[in-house]
Amino acid sequence: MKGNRRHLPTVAWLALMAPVALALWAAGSGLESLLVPYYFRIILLSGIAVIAAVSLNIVNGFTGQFSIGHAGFMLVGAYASAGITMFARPFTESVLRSAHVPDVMLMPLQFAAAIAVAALAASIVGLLVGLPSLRLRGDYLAIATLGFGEGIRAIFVTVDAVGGASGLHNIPPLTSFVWVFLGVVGVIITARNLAASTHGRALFAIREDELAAQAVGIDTFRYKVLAFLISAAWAGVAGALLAHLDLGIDPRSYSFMKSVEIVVMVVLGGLGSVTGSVIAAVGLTWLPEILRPVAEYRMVFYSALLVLLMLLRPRGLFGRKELGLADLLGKKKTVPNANRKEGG
Amino acid sequence: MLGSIYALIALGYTMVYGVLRLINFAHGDVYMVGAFIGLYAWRYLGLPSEEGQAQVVSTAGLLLMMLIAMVGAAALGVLIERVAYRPLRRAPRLTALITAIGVSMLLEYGGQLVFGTTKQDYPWLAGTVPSSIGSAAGGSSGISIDRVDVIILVIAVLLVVVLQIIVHGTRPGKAMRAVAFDREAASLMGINTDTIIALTFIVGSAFAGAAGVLVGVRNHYVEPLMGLTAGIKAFVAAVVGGIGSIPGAALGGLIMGLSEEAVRAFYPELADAVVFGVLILILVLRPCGLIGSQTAEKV
Amino acid sequence: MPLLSVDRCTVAFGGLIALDAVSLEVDQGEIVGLIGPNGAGKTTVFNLITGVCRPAKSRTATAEVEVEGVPLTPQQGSRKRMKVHYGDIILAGESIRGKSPHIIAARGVARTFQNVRLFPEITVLDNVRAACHVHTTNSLPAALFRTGSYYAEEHDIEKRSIHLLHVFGLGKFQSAPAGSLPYGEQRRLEIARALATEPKILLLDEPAAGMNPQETRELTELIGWIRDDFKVSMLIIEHDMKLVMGICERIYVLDYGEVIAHGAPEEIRSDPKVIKAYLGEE
Repeated sequence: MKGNRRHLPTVAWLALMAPVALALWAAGSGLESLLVPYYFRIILLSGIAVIAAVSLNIVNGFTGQFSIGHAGFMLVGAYASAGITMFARPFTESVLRSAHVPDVMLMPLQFAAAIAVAALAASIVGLLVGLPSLRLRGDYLAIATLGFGEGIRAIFVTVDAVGGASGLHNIPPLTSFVWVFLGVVGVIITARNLAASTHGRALFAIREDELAAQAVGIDTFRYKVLAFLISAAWAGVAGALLAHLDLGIDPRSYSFMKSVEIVVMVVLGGLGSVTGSVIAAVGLTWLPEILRPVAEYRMVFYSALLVLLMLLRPRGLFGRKELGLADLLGKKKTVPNANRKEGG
Repeated sequence: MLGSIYALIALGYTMVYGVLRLINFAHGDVYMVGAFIGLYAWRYLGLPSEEGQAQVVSTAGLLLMMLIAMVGAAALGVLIERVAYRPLRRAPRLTALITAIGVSMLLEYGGQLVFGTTKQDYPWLAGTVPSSIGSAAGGSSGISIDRVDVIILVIAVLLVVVLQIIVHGTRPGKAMRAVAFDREAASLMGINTDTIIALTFIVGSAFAGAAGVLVGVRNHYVEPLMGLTAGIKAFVAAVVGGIGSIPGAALGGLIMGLSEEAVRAFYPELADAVVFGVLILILVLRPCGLIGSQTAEKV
Repeated sequence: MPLLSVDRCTVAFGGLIALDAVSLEVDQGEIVGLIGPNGAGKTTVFNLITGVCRPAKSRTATAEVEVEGVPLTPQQGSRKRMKVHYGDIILAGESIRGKSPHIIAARGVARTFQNVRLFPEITVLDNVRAACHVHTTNSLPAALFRTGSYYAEEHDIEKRSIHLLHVFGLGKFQSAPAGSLPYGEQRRLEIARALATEPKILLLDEPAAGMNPQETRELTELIGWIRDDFKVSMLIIEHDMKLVMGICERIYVLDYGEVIAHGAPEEIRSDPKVIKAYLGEE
């Protein structure tokens, strides 16, 4: 049960986190003023990549169901949140004003609502996609999610009300360091708490042997759909944050390749390892920037490095291992699921 | 016709999936490289061209281009299998898949470096040159049956028939089917599975190379990223037909090509949505594709 | 009333009849053997009971005729003279026929598999804890926010699982991946995992397969002890006749998908039909 001996509910932890968050907000704005905007943007992009990768890991790593349509859910979240902050703005603002909300809080509250709506919309689409496709297995599920992901994009592209193929523009710049940080913490807590609970063990059991999981009374279909929902909801959050960072939605950048990018992060980090997803997401977001000096060769390096890493570490960087705070401080203890020998 | 091109590429996906259970993402890019090999062969080897016209290739020249492209693509396919996939035979399947994606990206970005990022003109097939070359770029859309389409269809059908004969009539073909059925059992029966898997890559990649040249003379241009969409669509075609099945891939390719062209003629912006719509419909209604068999899990 | 009764169930794969109107009963606290030559359909009986296979229509009906699970009124029955039914599977007085495997497991049917099916990459402890899932009450939000009741339940699960592992002599393997255990321990773990679901009846599919005589003797003791300690009934598929004859109170013999004999071990031993099924025609 690792560090849970403290028996503090997560709510209490979150309350303790409040001053930390405040400090972070200060640090974030400090960072923003210190750093070149370009690098600050990449920090935020890394955070969004972490949210997307960790959430996809819940489906691909925890549950062993192979989804490659994550960008589709991000796109749903992006459009849904833009709907709140752009189109519904006059309405929400008048509601908030009539509730005597101070002016400084107007935009943050609207953005919070937008993110919540994004999560909800993405999870509803996740349900619609999951119900028919989660009856399929293995590669067929992968292909179906690919099809749905591209299908969602194709639908948005044909709807002129949301900008059609040219997408949406002039989305307000609301994504800040604090929002991204909260998202990252939120998705990691979701994944770690899920993994340590009976619900997480149900997901692992499905990954390991679906038939045996049923035989011990796990409703495998329900749990697959549940994992899909949680994952899609966080993808929606990532989409909302990305849209309000890019200040627009270009449907082309939420294509199959985007989904693949996220899958790569999950597999490279190690399927089932939250730590791995986080590190791979940050690493792969920075890698092209680090490779910038080699200019036009950088994507060749990027892909060659990817192939090389997979050949050298077929189970990803972390296997199924997790790193906790205590590990970093050098305490020795056994971590659940830290059983895979790395390197295969 | 687009359908026969998809069919030729889909064959490679389906064959590799059959023996390795691997979605070979790099396959679409092998097709791209094949097209470029054909182009360079034509450019530098002075292949038989119609007299007096520098931008036109004769039918014999086309066949030679195809042959060279097929050999080149086959070599590339084997190389990829050897370097990237063989070490991962026993690794989790997702690992191999990510590696395939990595190889695909490597070929795309490497292709952009080697071939340049812009479109390159492809020779016309003799007898298909319209009176004014400059204004003929529109020939790639709409349902129009002209000479080049007929030739493509004939070549594609011939290749599929040859493949069917190889797979069902020859010893290596039988071995290939045995490996697809049960790799372990096949190797116990004395079949050298490594050789057969390499052979599968050779045949599949050669077909992709041929498709690359054919699409080049049809569209009159090639570019390093052409493998991306064509690859995905051909893969979808393989699934629709029933992945692992050779006639299924041919049928799926034709269906996908025809439906895409038909929709593109009327609602061009919906063409991609229709492709994936067909995919989802097939997966929900017949998860194993049009021609494919359900395998029950043994308990 | 028997704890479990399978009543004239037929299972077909395509055109092949795997089980033909099979009926069998297991009483409370009873250990029943299921034997028969290879391919007789023994594992299919387990798959039928656990909901992995669904019963097919059968034409060996008697008076109580039903169609698609709906009992016919006597008038309909006599008018149409329908002789089609699906048979029935009753567990503790309730029909479990056509239910999903996880529901049947929750109702109290646990099983092991012929070719051990553990969750190989998670720990031995987690294998058992995963099987405790069926009786958990905490919601997903409770787990995500780690409420007090969540901690209480997780603590309880852990305690029960560790106890179960110690009882089965697997305590020292607790944090090893299940797939790394020696074969015999894997088999024991699979039984422990099945018991973690708190079943009314335990179905064991060839538990002694691959064991040496010493291990088989230990297994025989273990099975008797499980029955007494966990108060479960058992249905056991086994080829080891010494084990079957030694602990089973009654035995069913299956051949070509049909029950050809059942009775006490000594009756089965001398039944000419059984001898014929095993040894073939003279």
